[in-house]
Amino acid sequence: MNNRIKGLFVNVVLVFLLVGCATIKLIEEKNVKWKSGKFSSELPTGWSKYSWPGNILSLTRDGSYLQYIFISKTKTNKELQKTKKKITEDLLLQELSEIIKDELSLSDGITNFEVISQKPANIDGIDAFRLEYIFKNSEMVDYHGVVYGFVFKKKYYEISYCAMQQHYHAVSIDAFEKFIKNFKVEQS
Amino acid sequence: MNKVTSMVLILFATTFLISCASTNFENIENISKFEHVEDEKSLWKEVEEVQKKLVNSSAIYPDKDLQNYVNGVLDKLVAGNEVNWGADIEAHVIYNSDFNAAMWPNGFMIVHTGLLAHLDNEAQLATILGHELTHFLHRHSLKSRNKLVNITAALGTIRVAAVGAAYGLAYNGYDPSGIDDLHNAIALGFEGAYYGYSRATEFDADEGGFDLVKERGYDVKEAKAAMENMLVATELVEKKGEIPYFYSSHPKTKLRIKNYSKFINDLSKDVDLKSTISNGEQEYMNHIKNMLIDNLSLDIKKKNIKLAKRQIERYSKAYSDDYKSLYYEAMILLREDKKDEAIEKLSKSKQLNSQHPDTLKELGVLLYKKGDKDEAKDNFRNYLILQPDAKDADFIRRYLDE
Repeated sequence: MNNRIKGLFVNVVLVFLLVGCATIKLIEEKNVKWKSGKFSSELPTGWSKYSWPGNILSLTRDGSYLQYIFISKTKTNKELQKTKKKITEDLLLQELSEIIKDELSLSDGITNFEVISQKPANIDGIDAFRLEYIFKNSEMVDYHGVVYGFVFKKKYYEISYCAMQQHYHAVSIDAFEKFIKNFKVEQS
Repeated sequence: MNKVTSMVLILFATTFLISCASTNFENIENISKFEHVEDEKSLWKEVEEVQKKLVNSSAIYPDKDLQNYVNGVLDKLVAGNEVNWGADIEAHVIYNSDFNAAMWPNGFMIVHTGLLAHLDNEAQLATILGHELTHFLHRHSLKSRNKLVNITAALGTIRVAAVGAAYGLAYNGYDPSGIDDLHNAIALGFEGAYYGYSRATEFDADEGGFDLVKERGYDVKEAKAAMENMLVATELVEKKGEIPYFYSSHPKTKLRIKNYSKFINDLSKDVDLKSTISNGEQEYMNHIKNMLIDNLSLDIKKKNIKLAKRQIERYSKAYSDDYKSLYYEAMILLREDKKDEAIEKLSKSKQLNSQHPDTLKELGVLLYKKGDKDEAKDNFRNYLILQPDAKDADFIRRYLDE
């Protein structure tokens, strides 16, 4: 392959990657239904769906710095980044929520991490935990987060929400909880 | 040398001379009336912005008694000279289990709980504080920054932010304060405060610190012991790449121990070292009791098992709270997946103190998973009696209701 063709090939790949990464789709009434593998729900209208490496779903209304909803999955029996703990299928929900709490509290670039509540939850018949917390980022801006976590078919799933406390949390939390309420899991 | 090479060299030398920022400043303790030298005022101002954020964050360890004690020791070293030095010299204890202490250019000092947890006494603390104080008195931040500015200017790259890369620093996710102040610090050009300065500068600070410790009547042999403690602790870190600060370099720490030996030997030629006053062990251990527990919990959380074990040993030796030592030994056993041994330790802990909520909860969880539900429920019930508003109370009630 001569250099000119090689250069062209690299450019095409770059453009392809950039376009692919930057896909943002506004959620309107006509496209609120969402399904991915065994999971489905209704997306909040007025929010946007975008792709984020490693996430099953990424949503934001005003920008991910202001608020987001993520769904992510992690293999069980794999060391977590900060605590080096492993999520195993035999963990009690209380233990699982403790691990995630510790993992969150050790995140880089956050301070004043505080748990507001740590409770059992149920997501379409699946036992889960709900962890609500607040923290400040490196600019000392307050954030409010909620995580639902559960183990399903040997994988740990996390549906997380986070928003800037001022202005954004109050107007976004209902959309998140509605998303959770409508969340369906195909058990078969 | 050919013509082109000569021209390049002349050009390089000219650039260097033109851009040269001074690195030759008088040490602060030698000045009768403090005045800022060029660039110093702006450096202090920039630092103060970061400082404001830090003191208002949870990065500060919330133990006023410990904070006051550390500052009391620092005050002994400062000996009322603050006014002459034009700075507010103050130490802040940071809740972070990495071994670190740093002096910012304006006299704002940070000491990590991780460092305090591995010292034995007040004389060792004074050694660390004296070392850091010397960085301030000898204007090491400003000198180091100007040196770097000269190098980058001479190389045609003015961006101070590039300094970290130029010095081959590995950030490694290390966050000394729980917030991103390190990035700011590096951008301000005082990364030496975090990662250690050049060897000569560190040795200068060791010598200055040693003199202060000696002058205030502490047992100077403890200065060397402080370094030895750091070496032992550093060797217990499982992931070496994650150690920040100059303690990460063993040869450097070993060299520093050698230096302290020399300081002590030199001094012993003139002074009977047995006559030196005290090392303040009891006083020190009284003040770090709660901090030691919090710091070792953090190490357990981060799976720094060997370090946590060392701290538990120190805790057991110094205090009679055996139930707490047993509880944390159990937490380590759990991290090592030794559940039965953890149950044994927790049961012993409970025998010594049946009112420790964490012991009851952990024991309950382990017994519940083992199938011993009646005994698990007993522990859960007692846990809820002691902590009815615990954040995880709903989980525990759910297990009780089954």
